[in-house]
Amino acid sequence: MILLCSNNTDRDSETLMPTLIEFKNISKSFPGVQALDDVSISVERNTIHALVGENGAGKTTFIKICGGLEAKDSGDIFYKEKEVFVRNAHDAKKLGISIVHQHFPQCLKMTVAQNIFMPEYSETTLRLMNWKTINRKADVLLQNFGVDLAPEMPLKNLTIAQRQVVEICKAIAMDVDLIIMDEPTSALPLRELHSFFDIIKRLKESGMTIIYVSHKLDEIFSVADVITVLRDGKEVATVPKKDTTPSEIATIMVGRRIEEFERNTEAGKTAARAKTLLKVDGLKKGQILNNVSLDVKVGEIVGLAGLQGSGCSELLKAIFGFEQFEAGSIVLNGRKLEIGSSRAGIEAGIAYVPTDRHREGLNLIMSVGENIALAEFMKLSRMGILWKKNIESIGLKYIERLGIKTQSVWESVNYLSGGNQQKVVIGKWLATEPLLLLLDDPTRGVDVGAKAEIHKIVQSIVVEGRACIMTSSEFPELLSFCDRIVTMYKGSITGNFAAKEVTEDTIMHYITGAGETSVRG
Amino acid sequence: MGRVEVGESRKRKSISILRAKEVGVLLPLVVLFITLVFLAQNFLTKDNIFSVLRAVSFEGIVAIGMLIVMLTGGLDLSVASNMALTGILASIFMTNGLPTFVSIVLALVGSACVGLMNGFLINKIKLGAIIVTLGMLSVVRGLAYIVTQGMPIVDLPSNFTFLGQGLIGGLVPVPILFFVVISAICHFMLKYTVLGYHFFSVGGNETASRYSGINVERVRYFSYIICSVFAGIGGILLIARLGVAQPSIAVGYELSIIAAVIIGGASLQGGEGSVLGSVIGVLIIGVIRNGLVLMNIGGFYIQFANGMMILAAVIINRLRSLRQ
Repeated sequence: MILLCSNNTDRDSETLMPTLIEFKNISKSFPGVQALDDVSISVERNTIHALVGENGAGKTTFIKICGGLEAKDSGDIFYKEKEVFVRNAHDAKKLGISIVHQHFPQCLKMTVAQNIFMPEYSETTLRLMNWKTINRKADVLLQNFGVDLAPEMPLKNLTIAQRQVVEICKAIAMDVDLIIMDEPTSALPLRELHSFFDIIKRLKESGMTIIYVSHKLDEIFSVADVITVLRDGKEVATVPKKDTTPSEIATIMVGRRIEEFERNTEAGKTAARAKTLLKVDGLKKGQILNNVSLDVKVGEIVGLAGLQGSGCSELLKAIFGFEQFEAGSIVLNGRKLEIGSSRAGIEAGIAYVPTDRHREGLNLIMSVGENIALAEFMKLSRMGILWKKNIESIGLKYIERLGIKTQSVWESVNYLSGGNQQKVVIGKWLATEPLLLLLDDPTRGVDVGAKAEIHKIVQSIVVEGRACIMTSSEFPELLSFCDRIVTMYKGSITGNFAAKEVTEDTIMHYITGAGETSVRG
Repeated sequence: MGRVEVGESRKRKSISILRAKEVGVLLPLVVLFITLVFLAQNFLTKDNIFSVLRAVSFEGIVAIGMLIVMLTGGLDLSVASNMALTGILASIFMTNGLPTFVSIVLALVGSACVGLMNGFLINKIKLGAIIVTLGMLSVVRGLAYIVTQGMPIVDLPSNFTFLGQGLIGGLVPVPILFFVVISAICHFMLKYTVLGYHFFSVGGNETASRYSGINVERVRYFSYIICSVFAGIGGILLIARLGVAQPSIAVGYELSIIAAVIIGGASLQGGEGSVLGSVIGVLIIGVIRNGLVLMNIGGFYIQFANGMMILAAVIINRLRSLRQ
């Protein structure tokens, strides 16, 4: 049984383990949204307190209020049993609270040490900076972590994982007691995860308290002591980890039972399966794509597995026509595709959903309807004029079909949650009625509920005689959702497996170059 | 305990003199210099070298201010107008009987107000730096015409004109001294003070700076005010050199100043650049102009060459950011 503590803190437990920070009845609203609704959380000293919730549950707002980056409407914060007012990043710093942000902003042109000591030297004065001492202090800090990095190295030369370490060093360079981490692993490659968890555990051993915000339950269950679930801006449960299970937490998070993304493969195994939809032959582009060949059949969902730089994303882009290549051919439905023309790709019936939806997939200022209609402007216009009602009808169609939560067709995409934004991108491409759907990590940064919905949508599309190629940063997702897994390493295809017959370990083996035999897809 | 993997091995002594950024900028200057020694007869004379150095000092001082603004990711197009207005204000005060020193200080307060205005519009009204300072370019130039009614101001006191025309030890022109001292102070300020560090960090990543508790707005105010005051100093020295205060001086200087700063390694995106580089950038532009004059290539070509240098600077900026 799970033990659901009420919002009011149990006074008895407080004497055993004194509370470091207590949030009482915090509320915050934005125009049209109640981001936080009477949230009370108390965090005990020297624990790792996980904060979970779907996108839009209010996690980020909560963090911003802790760090003084956003003002609360009402409620009180007690830190070390004193009431505190955190008005800006400076106040938080003085109290000993620091935040590791999700998309941690850093100065890539500056050195490691210059980044680490930015909070310490945040008062604009003519005080002298002794770079020798600062570099030495940074070195000690990095060494404590067992990290081998030169403090004078410019940040742009570092890998993402190394930058993350720098960000954590930045957080603890000051005298801090509480570190708040917002989705700290979202930028980390899979293989760096273990060393990252080691760092977190080491921080705890050194006496720090950590609020760990994430929606990745496996991570939370490997580091957290206590888990608090937020839903729709409300605190719905606070549970010690040992008293609960991931599936219980997932249920509380979405407020309903979610179906595991088990694919009903039977529907796909029809006669149509025999027909080849896409044939990629001998694609070559410098070091990025090395003689890549791949067949995709009608009704098939193919998962591309590979680490960053393996060529998975580039292969998708090449098929769509974004990427030029030197040799090879792409045949879709018996028609040879023009190389390096996305217009030709769209006309041939390919849809491409990029991984970075903010930069490549959406016009954030435009409305939901306009975004959906974007790829089809030519078809929707008559005599060169765009008819509002055409946009409205196509917008409404996909809002309904994909279950996009929005006030109207004309609402700006900016105001939608991450999962809904992703659905808009998918809707935009479905509007072109594609034969082949290319999804580059479609569920990245999307919560469990929206993830399941996206999976359902993709399945329903593929059943209608189409096919899909997707990548994912989460291999369990690929394994459970795809029919076939194709592994890539350094621009070459290294393996081709039926998803049912392969384990995560095997995939790991092939995407790291450990599997020697090169199998043609 | 697992060690976090490090892609690149530890490069302890990676900062050697050869890898310093300024070397890449210095090279064209050296090539230009040697070429002109051979092509233009009078180039390598004591008089000519000092005249080149004096000629670049006025814009050079402003370029240091521009560098500071550009480090924060901003841009100030109003500097040339500010040069004219400040010089004129100082001249008006002086010809109306105020002591030279007092007149200069008052005029510089005026130029600081222009910077304050730029900073206010950019920080508080959240307007883009280019559009704000473009507007201020016209406003300030207009003020220069209004206060003079378009007439030149003559009969400036000799202790004032000494600042532009005088020689120290009968050899080194005074403006060069100002240029060197200001460059040295700013070099030190940018490298070794918190304020300098903040100029870099705000330009490098504004959000990171804000999250670290840096008062980004204040840093930006500082940058625009320093830039405007330096523009004022440049303008005062220029008018002292000319001996006459005209509202039409320094028209178009802002572009060659920006070009010099970019050629000197600064980035339009902010967060990058150095005083040394900007000084070299200013010298490159000055030497090219001087070479054209010495080789009797007419004024139209100088305008043309100016434009080419600005384009070259922007292309260099683009190539640098592509390489990253």
